[in-house]
Amino acid sequence: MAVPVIKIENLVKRYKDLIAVDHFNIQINEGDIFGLLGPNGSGKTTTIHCILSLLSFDKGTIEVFGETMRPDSYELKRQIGIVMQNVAVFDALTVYENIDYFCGLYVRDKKLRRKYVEETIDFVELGQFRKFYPKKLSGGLLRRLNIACGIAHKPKLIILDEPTVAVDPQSRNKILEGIAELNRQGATVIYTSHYMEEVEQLCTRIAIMDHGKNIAAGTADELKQMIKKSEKISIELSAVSEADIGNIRALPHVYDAVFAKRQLNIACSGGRHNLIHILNYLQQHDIPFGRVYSELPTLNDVFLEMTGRGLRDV
Amino acid sequence: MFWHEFVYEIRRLLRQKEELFWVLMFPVILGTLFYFAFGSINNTTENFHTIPVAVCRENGADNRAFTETLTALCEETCPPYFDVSETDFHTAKKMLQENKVRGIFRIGEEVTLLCASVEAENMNSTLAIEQSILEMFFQDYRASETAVTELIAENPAFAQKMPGLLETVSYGSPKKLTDGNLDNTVQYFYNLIAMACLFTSFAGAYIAMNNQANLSALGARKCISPCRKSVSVAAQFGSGILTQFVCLAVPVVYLVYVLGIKFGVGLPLLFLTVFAGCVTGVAFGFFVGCIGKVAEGTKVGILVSSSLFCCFLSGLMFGNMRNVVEKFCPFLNVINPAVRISDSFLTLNIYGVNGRYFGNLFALFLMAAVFLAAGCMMIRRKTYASI
Repeated sequence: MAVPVIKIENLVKRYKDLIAVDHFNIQINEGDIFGLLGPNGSGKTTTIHCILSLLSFDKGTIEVFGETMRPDSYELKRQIGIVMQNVAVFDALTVYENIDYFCGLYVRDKKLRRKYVEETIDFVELGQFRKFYPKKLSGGLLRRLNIACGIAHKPKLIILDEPTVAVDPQSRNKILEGIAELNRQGATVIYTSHYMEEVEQLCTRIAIMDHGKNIAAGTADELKQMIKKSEKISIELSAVSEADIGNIRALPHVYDAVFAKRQLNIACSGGRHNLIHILNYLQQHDIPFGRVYSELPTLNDVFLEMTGRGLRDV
Repeated sequence: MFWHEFVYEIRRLLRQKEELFWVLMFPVILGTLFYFAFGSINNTTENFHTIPVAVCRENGADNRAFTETLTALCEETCPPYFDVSETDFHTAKKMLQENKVRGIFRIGEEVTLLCASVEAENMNSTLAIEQSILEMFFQDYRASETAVTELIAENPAFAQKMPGLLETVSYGSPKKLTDGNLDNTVQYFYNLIAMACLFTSFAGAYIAMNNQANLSALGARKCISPCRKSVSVAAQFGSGILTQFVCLAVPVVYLVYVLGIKFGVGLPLLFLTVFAGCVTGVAFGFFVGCIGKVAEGTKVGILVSSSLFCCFLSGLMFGNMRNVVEKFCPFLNVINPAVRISDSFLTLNIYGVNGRYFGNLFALFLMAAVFLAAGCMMIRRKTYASI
């Protein structure tokens, strides 16, 4: 049976007239990599701040490891690692000192702390930069240092709030691999992002947020099954008649077909061999075609269908 | 946890070049500039040279009163006011032309003074000043002589009381009321140190900002950690005071031993005053740092302007300012930490350790306690309405 690490029920947070989190409910289980996906301003960071008891909230309950989280829940805090959206390190301390300082807020034993710090430096691959000051690090390395400061004390629950913003692809991959590795080592991870590819690649369960509401939750596959569109087929054509487009629309599982800029875009709902059916039709009616693309639905499609706008349009 | 915070805060503060500049380098630079600016004033006022004069007696004439006055000024003062050469008028005139003397006292029926023309070719500012001193002395003497002569003419009995009255008059042996440095310009150095003490407020402001989740990302990270805010603030406050005090001790030692500024007391009492100033400065910065959700730049601006304003009122830019404030709004002087710090130095210099000095220290520590308590009240809130 799944053990809940975080349980949020009916959470409401208002900023004067603005409802930042609107009756939000989730349960995050031990061993999850839980993704909170939503556009900027959807309430992800506010929810995280409420979980951490940094922000007061108007309604609802939050339980962490089965206990109500309060500002003075020091034993609970000891089990949590947080990587903030903004880099939070001391410019006047070196890479090693920064990690040691933040680890020292959680771990009193000096020997154990030294061991943890060394392991973390190896983990984030900052060994050759240990004596560097943060200002000398590139954006990607700085993000890795930010992560190291949050995870050095080996927490059971790690919360990463958009840790890959403004990071180059190589560093981003390293960060994502590192998070997966932390999860393999036993940590439960909450990962917030507006990059759907990251969330889809990394997370075992996902909640999609918009305007402070949890509009859908489940695994990536479960979320995709919630929408009508399950496949998008694009075919390069020089020309096609309205009658043919109508006939294609009438094919099984096809619910939309649009021709624009010499490309026929067909949206299909769940069903096998959709592509074969369409290509057969084109061949039978002597309609010459060029390249053919078939895309499975993304989380952006899920968001688009549920909210009427794309994640990136917000 | 306390020591962990304490040690890392010291490391951090000692590497903050901008903050160190204001408490370490700025007083050294400004102190050096003050030294050279006020040094020339001291040279012209303190380096008094004995003025050479010639005395000519016409036909062996004598004027006992004048001769005794001249003798007193030559023998009872250090350095002597006048270097007297008794000679005949012809030789004296030659000496005057050759600038060997600044004036000639001719003693006949009356005493007269002959000086070189101010338009003479070889006249320079030093000669002119010495000549002015000579003329002023002679005018004073003539005025006194005339007054006494008239008094005796009106009341001959007064002549018998004169010697007794004159015994109480001394031309050249002022009685010292203090062993301190009476040079007025030293007050600028008091205010300079007071300003450096108030600049320690930057360190206090960063303590506040680094411990509040709604003011910095670092503050948020600290608030999420299991380290209690009270422990963190106490450790950082202690290390802040220690580092700022050590840094400020350097310019004080520089002023005393390198520039030779005389504060009138030894280093321990100077350090005690600077320590009290640092405690007040850091606490003031902590208080300002705790105020609301204001940008870091704005808070630094508030600290710089308020520190400079306090120092302006205590006389850093205009020496008499403190007296002006005392006349029109004395309460401002009571609550102005810069005034309390500079007055502590002044008291130590002139009167030594006394009640007024301890009163100043008490006022400084009281202000620090008020700032600290008010700051703690503001940040003890544990959850925020917005971040």
